[in-house]
Amino acid sequence: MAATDGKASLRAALAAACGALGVAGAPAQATEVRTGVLGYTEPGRVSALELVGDAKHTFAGGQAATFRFVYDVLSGSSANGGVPAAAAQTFTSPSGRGSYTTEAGATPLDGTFRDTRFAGSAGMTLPWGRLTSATLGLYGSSEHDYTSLGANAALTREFNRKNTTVTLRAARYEDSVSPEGGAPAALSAMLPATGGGGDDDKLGPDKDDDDNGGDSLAKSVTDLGLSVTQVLGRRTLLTLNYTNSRVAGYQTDPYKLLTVVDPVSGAPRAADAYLFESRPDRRLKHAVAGELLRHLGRDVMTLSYRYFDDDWGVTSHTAELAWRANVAAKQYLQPNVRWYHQTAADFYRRWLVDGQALPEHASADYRLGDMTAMTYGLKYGRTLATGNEVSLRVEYYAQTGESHPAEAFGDLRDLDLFPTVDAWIVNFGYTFGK
Amino acid sequence: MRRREVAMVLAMLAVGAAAGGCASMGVQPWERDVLSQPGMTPGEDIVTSALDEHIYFSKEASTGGLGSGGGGCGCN
Amino acid sequence: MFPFRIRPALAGLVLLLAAASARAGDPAPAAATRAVVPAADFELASYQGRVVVLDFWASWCKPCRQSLPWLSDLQRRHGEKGLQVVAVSVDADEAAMRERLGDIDPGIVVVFDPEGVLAQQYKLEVMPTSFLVDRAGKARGSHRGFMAKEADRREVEIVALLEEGR
Repeated sequence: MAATDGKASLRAALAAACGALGVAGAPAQATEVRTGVLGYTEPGRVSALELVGDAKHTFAGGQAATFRFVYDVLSGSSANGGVPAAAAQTFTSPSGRGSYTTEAGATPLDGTFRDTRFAGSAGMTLPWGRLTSATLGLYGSSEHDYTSLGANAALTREFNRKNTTVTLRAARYEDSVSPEGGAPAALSAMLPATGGGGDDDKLGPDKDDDDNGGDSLAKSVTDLGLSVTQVLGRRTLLTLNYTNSRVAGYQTDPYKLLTVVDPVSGAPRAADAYLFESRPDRRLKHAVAGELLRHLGRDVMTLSYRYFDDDWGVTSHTAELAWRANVAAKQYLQPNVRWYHQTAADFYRRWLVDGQALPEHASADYRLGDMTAMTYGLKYGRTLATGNEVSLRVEYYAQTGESHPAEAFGDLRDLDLFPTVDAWIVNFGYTFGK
Repeated sequence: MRRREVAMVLAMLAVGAAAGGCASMGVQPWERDVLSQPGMTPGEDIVTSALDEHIYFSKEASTGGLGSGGGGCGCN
Repeated sequence: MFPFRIRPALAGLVLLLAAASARAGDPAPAAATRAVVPAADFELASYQGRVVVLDFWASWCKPCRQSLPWLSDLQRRHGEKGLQVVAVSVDADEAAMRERLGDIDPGIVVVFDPEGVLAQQYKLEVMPTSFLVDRAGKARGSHRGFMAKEADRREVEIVALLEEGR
């Protein structure tokens, strides 16, 4: 590509990108479009590609319409909840027809994981005078086994010469889950594969709904939020946020298992060693968060903290620091570090022990366990001569937990019960019409 | 549950601070030059935030956080 | 490892990156030799006999990117009938202000008020704000903010004031 063709090729590339993103046509003067492409990969586990397009059109009267769509493709292997064992283990695929085998000593991963998701939302912001505005929106998303429909509303009011901004927010989602192979009964045993080939049962959107056993389970989410942003000075801004989320309905992961181990050897018991997990059908979550923005000379520092707590027993702390270094007139470099720590849900069990009474609820999903996660990222952004903005971000994310917990016994003592999960994220962004 | 009460108190403190104590804080409308600069508006990069939230939502047990407004130019 | 659809997307990404780097370089700075009145030297009284639109703006103010060209157009069309647009910049940085002056009508009087002395005097509540002053030097109202849909109605008001003193 010749340098003189830069402008034309950018237009062509952009047109191609817009075509792919479904944002056809030249943007109007008051339309701002943000696009993003994200690649996510956990070496040896899941890979995902995500496309996002977000358009905001501001009308002459100050009203604004926003549209967003997200498309993502996910494939690879994800931990099925079972513990590693000294011998190879065989699991039935979610469809019930095929099976897969995990080597001795390895964390059981279900490799049949594959999904595409499409999500779209639309919103309208209506100003009411100079200080008040209301936003109303609709949301919908669809995966082959999951559908979500939602509506949201927000009211924003400015005070103190726009130094204080208060936003009240409410959202309601109605979700429907149709698990592959039907929803297993709580803590029921994984059945042996019914045959029909091991590899032809990949999950996919082309799958007929009849294969799901006809089960459709409902879940509703009600979110309430309050946020206050305060200008503290010419260079300092503070935002405080409270969110309350009430979830009712089916919240079990229908594909996650627990291993029932022998009380002495720690090995999976001889028969019915794997049970499907079970989670409570109610959950109440609270989050309090604060974010401080501080301009320092030519740089901007963003410091944020979130405290989270729910009635499943999960408590978490999240702290993040981002430093936007404006290295040149229209270029910046932004390193960021995020630290996350959560305590386990009350019903989290790494395994169940043969001969002991079954609890009402149990899950071995490591995402509900004690965990620490770190994110390290670096973003580069620049404003082009056209006023458009490009950015490239690379992040490394790692989740760690107790690999050799004190309660391990028998064979379990020698196995890595919480292998580090790490992921690489590459994110390209392009904004135009700003 | 005690933890929940702590959260509630924190939230109420936030609202109280906004309603009362903050009335004297802030800047004049013509002093928002620095606040208008890129990076000084909370939640500015909505696409990146949405992508991050999706990742963390699917890898961690916590949700909720910083939807917000305010800051920036403060114009019109 | 990636599904087949990822390939064209990755190719597009590479193309975008290559194109973006080919566009590197900043625009030439706007010609900045125009006369600017320091806030301390500004006196509204010296414009008596003309209808004055006293407008507070700044380079960092987003709606001002629409209001300034509009004011420039008003000055160009009504200047001869006695309109005087005074554009008071509250920018702290003179260079940032001057960057915006490239295209505006030379008939507009630009005042540089980096300390916000005039802004304070006029008890500014929002950016931008315009004050209307008739030929007799009397305040005849103000307008807060800028909305494109209000522009025509505001021009009618200004034209009415221009007619008054004839």
